[in-house]
Amino acid sequence: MGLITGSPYGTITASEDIYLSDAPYIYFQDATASPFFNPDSDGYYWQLSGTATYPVYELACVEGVTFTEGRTLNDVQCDNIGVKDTVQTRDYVEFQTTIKSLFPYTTLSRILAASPATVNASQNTEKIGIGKINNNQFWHVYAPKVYDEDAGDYIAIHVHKAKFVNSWTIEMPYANQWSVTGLALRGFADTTKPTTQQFAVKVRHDPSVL
Amino acid sequence: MEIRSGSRRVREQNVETVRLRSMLGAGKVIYPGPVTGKIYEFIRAEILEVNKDDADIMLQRVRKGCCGGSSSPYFDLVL
Repeated sequence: MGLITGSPYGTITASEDIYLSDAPYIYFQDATASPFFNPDSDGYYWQLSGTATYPVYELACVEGVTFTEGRTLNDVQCDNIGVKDTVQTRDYVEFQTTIKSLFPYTTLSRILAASPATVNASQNTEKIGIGKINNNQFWHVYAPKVYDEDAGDYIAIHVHKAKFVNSWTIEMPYANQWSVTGLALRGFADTTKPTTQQFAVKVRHDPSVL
Repeated sequence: MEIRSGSRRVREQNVETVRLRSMLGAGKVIYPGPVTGKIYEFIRAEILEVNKDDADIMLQRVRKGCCGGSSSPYFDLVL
């Protein structure tokens, strides 16, 4: 029976009393590599497996992480009635963040869409060039967040085909750490994946609840 | 084994090598052998034959991780 507070009759999917906090770790890998689960037993494509050819890079010490999407919306407007519907398509999903860790340059070169790094241990140097952007470079993105370390409960977001799209800015403030702002990893539709998961997959692991 | 090099008799040592590749994710890694001083040039994930004495030390080198992340090795032994 409905409560005095106004809860509805019938089947209700209640919300859980579990709350997430803090940013996930963010990793990325050349999208040419196959995901670790390719697919898993439920048909989902996710997780990374780094190799020498396709290493996994870490976005370390992140700040202000958001995960959002872009949609195109067009109202179905009837001039005699008004808006009857809205046709919408998902254009992309996107991680946005700032990072505080600028080293190594092997990773920063990927983030800035610069040239692959040359590490010269004879000279103790690491060099990257900032030139033309390679528009054929796509990345898998994997962002896990453990929300109960004792139980090993976690969630993860896996984006299949992403690219760093925004103009970056390296902030160099007085008496404060440098940071790279304006980073956006935009995930496009990966047409090699099932239509229901073309942009990304979200996974939750929680034995005590699921 | 003994081989001839011009008129000079040269004793070739059997140099034991192992196969390494760079795990740094860089386009190129130039690394001097810690024992022999030989310069190794690793292009992306290409595999190089490396003197075993050099390799023993090179394989111990790791890049420390940040913010709870794990450390990563410079090189990987390819069997």
